[in-house]
Amino acid sequence: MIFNEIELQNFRQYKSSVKIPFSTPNNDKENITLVIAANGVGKTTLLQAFRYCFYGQKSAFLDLPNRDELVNNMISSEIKELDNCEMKVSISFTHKNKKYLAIRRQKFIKRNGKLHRSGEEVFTLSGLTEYEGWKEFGSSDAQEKIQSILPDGLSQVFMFDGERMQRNFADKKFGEELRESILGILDIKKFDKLYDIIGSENRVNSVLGMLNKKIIAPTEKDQKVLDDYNRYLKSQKSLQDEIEKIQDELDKVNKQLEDTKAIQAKLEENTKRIADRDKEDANHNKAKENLEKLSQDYLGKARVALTSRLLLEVKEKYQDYISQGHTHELFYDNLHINTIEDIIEKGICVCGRPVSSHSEEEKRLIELKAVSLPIESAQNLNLIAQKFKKSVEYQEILLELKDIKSKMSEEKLNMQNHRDKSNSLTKEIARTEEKYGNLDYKRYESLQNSKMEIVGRLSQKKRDLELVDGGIEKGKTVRERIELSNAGNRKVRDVINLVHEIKNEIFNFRREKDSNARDILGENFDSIIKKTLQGNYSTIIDEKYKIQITNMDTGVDETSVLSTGQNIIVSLAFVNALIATAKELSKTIDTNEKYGVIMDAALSNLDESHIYRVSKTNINSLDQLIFMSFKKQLRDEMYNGIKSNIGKAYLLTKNKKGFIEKTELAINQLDTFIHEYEEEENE
Amino acid sequence: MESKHEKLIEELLEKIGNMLYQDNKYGEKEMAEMIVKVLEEKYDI
Repeated sequence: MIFNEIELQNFRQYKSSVKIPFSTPNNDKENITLVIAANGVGKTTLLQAFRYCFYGQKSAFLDLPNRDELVNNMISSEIKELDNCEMKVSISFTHKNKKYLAIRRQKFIKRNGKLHRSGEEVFTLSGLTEYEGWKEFGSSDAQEKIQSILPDGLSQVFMFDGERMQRNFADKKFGEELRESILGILDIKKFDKLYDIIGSENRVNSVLGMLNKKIIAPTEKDQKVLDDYNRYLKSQKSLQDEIEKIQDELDKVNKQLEDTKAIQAKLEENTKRIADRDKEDANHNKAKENLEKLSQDYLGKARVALTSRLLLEVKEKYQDYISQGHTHELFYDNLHINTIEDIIEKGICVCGRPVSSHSEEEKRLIELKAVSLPIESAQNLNLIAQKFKKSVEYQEILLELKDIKSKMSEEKLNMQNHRDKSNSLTKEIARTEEKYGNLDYKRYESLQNSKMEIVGRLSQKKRDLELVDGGIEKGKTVRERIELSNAGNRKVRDVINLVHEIKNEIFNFRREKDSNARDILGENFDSIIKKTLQGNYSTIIDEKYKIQITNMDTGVDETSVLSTGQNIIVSLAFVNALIATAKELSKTIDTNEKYGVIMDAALSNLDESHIYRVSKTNINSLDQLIFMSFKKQLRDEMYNGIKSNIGKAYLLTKNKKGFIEKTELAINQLDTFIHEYEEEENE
Repeated sequence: MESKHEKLIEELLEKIGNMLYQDNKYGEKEMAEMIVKVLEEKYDI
């Protein structure tokens, strides 16, 4: 990847559009672009602009200021309130013979006198194609493409900050930065990240933490349901057996009850028969009574009839007798001696008329008294007379007797009928009793009681079984859920084990790569140090990337006592060693491809004896170098060492408003300019 | 890298790689969630 041009707009001290085209390698010459600027005039900013354009605001490697500090805030005084401005860095470069243009831009708006970000930061990458011209990558593809060309971890190597070159190698920070560079070279930063993200079961926001959280343990409540379920399963069978037995008992009692009921029904028919028979007997007795009454009546009437018949036979003689002695039948009929005596004595007739003494009437009465019969005889005569009168009813009585006789025959028939029916019923009753025995209400009642007791027991057992079934059903659901979650848990545990294996593989992979990389880096570093550092030195890079530089002549570790100049040599040796290692190890870095390096170098303290070596071995050997320096770094030795390779040179200055301006310096006049400039500086 | 789980590791690296390059848009939690999601889908958990 060779840089062609950078354009900065409103980026930190740069305003409007500042374009800096770079010198590109030409037959391994003119590979250096020299950017001269005094301290605080945009050298470091230029380096930051490269990193910002390619990787955005990423804290891991770039050491960029806050996003809001990247924009040239002085612009706010030049634009109106609510006006917009845009911060932009674009870099054109060539990679594998293809031209690319990377642009990162952010819009700002002036509000309350200050610039505020407006909308998202936009990164675009376009590639120049042979047939379609410039073709833009999609936003995430663009970032991936940049990463594939130059991973951000490598930015520390290829976009080298001179600040670190003055840092002592014994410094812990140096070791850490070196490690970061190695990780970038190996492109295993993401392995580290993956390792971190995998984390552990205890870290809830890590992969293992999240997976661990997926393992479902049964709750206390579920466990209880499960225990109940197992208990219920045991009791279910015995309950079912008990219920079956009780059901058999019930069936048996029901059968007995049915039989008893049937017998009872039959015997209850006998009850009806008995009642019917009693009724028939009663009717028979009634008929008998009637017959007796009719007989009595018949006999009485027969006697009257007989008397009447005898009287009728002597009636004629009686009439004769009466007609011979009695003319006054009327008196005869009503008066007897006692009555006549009573009338005479009281002087009042039976009809109420007074009978005076010595009257005709009294005289007559006295005559009558003389012929009157005593009372008993009179009464008998009256009775006889009545009897004779009555005897004329003889025919009527005969008819009545006939009627009574007919009724008696009827009653006799009734009696016979009722007796027959009663006898028939008695036989039927006897037959039924012989067949079914006698009614036993106690047995039926006892069976009913047994049935009720069995039904009660059965209901209780069924309720128990329902409870057990419900518990089993509930337990089944919980068990299924737990079994399911157990199956799920097993799966999750398998995945957790898998992730642990992955974690171990990543760890081992990293360790292996790391060790390998350190070995190669160590070899490269040692080789370059031997070429550039004056004296007999040997280097070791330990596991923590701590560097040890030993003077082989004295055997003393001089790492922490190196002069500033020696430190710079070592730093530059490192850059070269890292690049060589990157080319050797990185998957993304093509060993045949040329790579540009941007170096914000602080070489002011480099001692003269090393200048030539550094220039020749470190600086001139780079494919492309954008070398930022200020006058003191460009001493004759340094400048002379690299000037043959300088293809372009620029001077950055600040104008009155504090904005940086660029002036391209003519190469053929560079010598003069450097010295003039130096003189001015010296002045 | 040659390993037992090389393909899966490559897949996971690709996932987090895409996220890593998106300018701090995603934190480690989001990346972990993404990996868990991949594992969930892959192993039906």
